[in-house]
Amino acid sequence: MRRRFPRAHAATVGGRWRADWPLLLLTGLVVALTVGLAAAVDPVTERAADRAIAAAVHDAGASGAVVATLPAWYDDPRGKTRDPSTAVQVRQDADYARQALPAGLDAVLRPGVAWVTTPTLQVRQVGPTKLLQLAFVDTAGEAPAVTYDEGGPPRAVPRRALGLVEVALSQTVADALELEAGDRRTVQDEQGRSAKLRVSGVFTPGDPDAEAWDVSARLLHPVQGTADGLPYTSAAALVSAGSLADLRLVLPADDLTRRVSFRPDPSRVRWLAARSLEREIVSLQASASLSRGDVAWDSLLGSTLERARADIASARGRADVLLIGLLAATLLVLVLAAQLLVLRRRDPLTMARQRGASLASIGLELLVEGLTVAVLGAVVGLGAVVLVTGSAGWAWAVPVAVVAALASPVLGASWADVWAGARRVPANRSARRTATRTRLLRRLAVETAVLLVAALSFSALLQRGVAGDGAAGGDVTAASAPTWWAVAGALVLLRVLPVPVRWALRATRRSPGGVGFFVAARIGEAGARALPVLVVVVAVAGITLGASLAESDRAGQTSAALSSVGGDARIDADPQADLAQLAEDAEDEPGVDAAAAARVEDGARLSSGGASQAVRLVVVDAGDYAALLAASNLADAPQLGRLDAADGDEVPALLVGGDSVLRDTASLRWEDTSVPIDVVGTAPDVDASAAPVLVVDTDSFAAAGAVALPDTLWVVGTGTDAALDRIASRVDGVDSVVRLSDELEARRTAPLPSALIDLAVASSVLLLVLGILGLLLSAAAQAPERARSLGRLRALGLPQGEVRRVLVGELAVPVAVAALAGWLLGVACSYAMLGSLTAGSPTDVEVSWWTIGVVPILVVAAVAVAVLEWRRIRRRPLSQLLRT
Amino acid sequence: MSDPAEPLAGPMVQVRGLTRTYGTDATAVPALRDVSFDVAPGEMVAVVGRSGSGKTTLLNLLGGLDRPDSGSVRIDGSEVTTLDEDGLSALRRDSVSYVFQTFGLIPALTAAENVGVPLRLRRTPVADREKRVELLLDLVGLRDHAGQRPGELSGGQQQRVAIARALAGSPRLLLADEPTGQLDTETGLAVMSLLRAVVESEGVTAVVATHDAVLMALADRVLAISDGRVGG
Repeated sequence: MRRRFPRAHAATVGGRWRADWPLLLLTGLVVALTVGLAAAVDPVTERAADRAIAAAVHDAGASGAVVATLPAWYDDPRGKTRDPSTAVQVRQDADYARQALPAGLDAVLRPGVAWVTTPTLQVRQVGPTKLLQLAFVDTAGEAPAVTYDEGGPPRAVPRRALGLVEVALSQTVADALELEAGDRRTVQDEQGRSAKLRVSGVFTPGDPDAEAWDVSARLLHPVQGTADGLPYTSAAALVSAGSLADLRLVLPADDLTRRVSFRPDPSRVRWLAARSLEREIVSLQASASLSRGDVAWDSLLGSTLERARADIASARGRADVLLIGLLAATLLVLVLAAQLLVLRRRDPLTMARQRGASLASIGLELLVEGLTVAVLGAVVGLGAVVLVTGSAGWAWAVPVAVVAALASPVLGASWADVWAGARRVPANRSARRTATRTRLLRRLAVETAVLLVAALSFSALLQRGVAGDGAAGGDVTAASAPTWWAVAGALVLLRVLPVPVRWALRATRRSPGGVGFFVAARIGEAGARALPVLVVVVAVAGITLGASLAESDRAGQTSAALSSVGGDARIDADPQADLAQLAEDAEDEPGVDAAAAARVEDGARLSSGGASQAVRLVVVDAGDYAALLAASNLADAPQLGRLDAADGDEVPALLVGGDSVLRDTASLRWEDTSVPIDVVGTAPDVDASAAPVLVVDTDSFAAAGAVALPDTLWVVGTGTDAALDRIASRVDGVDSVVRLSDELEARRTAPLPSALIDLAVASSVLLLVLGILGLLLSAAAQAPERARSLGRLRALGLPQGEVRRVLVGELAVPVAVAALAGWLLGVACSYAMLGSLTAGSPTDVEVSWWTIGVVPILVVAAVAVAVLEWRRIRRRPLSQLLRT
Repeated sequence: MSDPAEPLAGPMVQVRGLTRTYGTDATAVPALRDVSFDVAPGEMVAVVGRSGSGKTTLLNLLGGLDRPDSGSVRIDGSEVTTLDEDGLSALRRDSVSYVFQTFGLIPALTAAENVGVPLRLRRTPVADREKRVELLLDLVGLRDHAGQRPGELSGGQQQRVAIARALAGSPRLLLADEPTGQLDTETGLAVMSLLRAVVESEGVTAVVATHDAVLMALADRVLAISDGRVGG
């Protein structure tokens, strides 16, 4: 017998298309919207990731540079002569280092800044200690742009003056060292080797933020402090290409450090290339070393990129959480749409099957239609994304298109078989029992599988988080945990729902009236259908989790900004006693609740036994600081009270983080003196420091002979901004005024958080739309059966008004129950999972309670559908309703 | 509720010049054409005819489920065709009841609860309702199945529940549209016999649409209907 292949009847397909075009259009729109959103995620997150990487590289500043340290010059000490080509050699060294860079790095790095520096030299003179470092800086053959206020640039000295080196000073350095053009000084290194300097001129930098000045901050900003109780000033002087040869002649080669710094151009660093850049940096650092006479490479760019990539992976993982919820709701809505489509065609499909049409040909006709809708919807969605963003991601779009194309043929073929009576109920009671058991077992197997997957994905989330391995995508298994929870919760709800329905039936059984009783009966009969319940539960849980995720992220940003600033505002200034007075003045200002001046010093060495660790040292008045913490939203630190009680010579201190060995008696290195430290408690975190933080009281610290002038002022209160405007100008040397509002704004508008919050809002709106759509579709699918059933009640005498109430109850109650369950599941997921999802600390978990508002929205939508349906039913003759 | 034992002066059902056409103009299909007849109180009339002859349309118009194009229907002296929706609901609740071909039971309710539905609609006190339900289930021989849901009953049992439900509100007129259409011959005959018996015991007037000749023998009178016209 010849095998006949299934064929689609074009006229049938066309006729069905014309009859059901609104539903097909709706399906196409759902496909287009979801595919559009899913396809936009990749390009949008890639852009946000590129911006985040660029921001991280930009923020890293000079520390993100790739630095090459060149081997020391070999100058024969016995026959040392002046080499006038020294500056040219420095440029050549820079070119050589550039050529050694791997292609990927080479593409993202700016032209190198080459420099030659001396160690810090001491200026020989009577009076306070003055320290000077000499630096030659070359940017692509050019010296840094300066304007000379006095004298001129350093030049090569004539042969008769060999041994002298001309240097130029910035105006601030000249003022700090009390030098002017024409002054001569002798400097010497730690080994006592000396050189004579002459100040050729005093300059003002053309661009103080130019990369060249990163070589030594002290070229423009001299540092003043005390060491061993004596004041000192440390600064740097500029050497020109002409005077570099003189410097090389005067100082031994081991006093001259040659480096080339390549700063990355943030706009050229791409997220997708970041991992390969990290590998290139590691490979570069491992490839050569000074000890072998090679160029040694050093850079923190790799760790900067790694941190940024981890942040991006975490954000993408969280985006995946939202997308998977959205995708699940979309797929369910598409199946509901297909179900409605097939139900509307029940008669023709049944007839076709009864007349001998094969299931394959029935499926094929529906597939042609489904495929057309899916492809058109996907093309519109993808096209819109490509038009707007220039590219589109495919991964998330595929399941949407596949389900849209296959749902109606699969359902149609399967149901046509049932409706046509091909799968009859067995007449044999035992066979019927077996069939029932098989159905129950199948359902149980599906439910068990879903519960198992929900448990496994939750475990993956707790163990691995959603960031994955930091590659292009997050961990989809972990990211799917909330959605699986919602699906599992919906299945549990479907299992337990008959219990309250039976209870409601029992409760209303003995009432004389009928509405409550009929509502319970109708819900028991038709209300708890799986798909609509799943759609509503998944949508509402997704909205609740998405909103909580966004809110927790914002809370994390708020607490991180507060921790970073240390109050409502912070002034960073040069160390000076005036800041303590300024703190007192600030407290007198209206609207200021508390102010505290402190010295915050990074990199202080704390040692105990054999262990030593760099800590952030905070020297602050313990009472003022406790008051400041109490007045702000920062965590209080009651242990600050212990800092006042000095025991012997040891300075009581609070420590957070660091080696446990340091918690015993330790010793702090402070400006060439050793301060004995007794750790008496746990310190509050200051400025979200990654390093351990050691907090000591100002008076206790001074009593131990250590002086730490404050360089930081924290202010708390609603009037902080106005107060700072009035008082900040009273002190000199203010580096920056950091306001909490600015810091928060910067964090809120950062590429990743803002993109994630945009996605959370978009997915929540879409989920709400999908929830309402699911409700509409399921109501439409069951409308004929409901009309028939209500028609029978009307035929028995149920008045129109009560028909409406039964209809409203039948549609609204399951929606209310499912929406409430979805909301509870969303809240449960937020509590259980946000700690593993949010960027902030687990304590920043904020549950969006207001999302309970989604429940009445859906209920109102259900009531509206019920009223519309009632109006439609009312217009139809009862005889027609009973016939359908 | 009227007393079934109270003698009535005129016919229970009076139909005059009843016409109903579906569709308009070229697609117009006359379902009933100028039909007139009376049904006396307590009488059981079988309306017979082929499929599409107008049996269901006639029953729908008698029960106020549809409105005629012209003509009048009087039930117990009251004009049905001029009643508004509330009036029709009251008519169906108090005077006319139905037995459907597909039984029309509510699957989530037990047999007893299904029988009690018309009494709920009339807000009958719970005790009276339960007593009446018990009586009716006894009458149709399903006392032992009171707690079972329709899915747990056979087709014949379900139709007996439907008959009990139709009688629950003590209607004056019972309309049954192909009540045995979904049943095998033997069960159909048993159901029809039951219907005959309970109509007599309850003193109800019944109009039963059927195309089964065997069942006609149980009726007091047969009303043949063909192409929308009533014959002998």
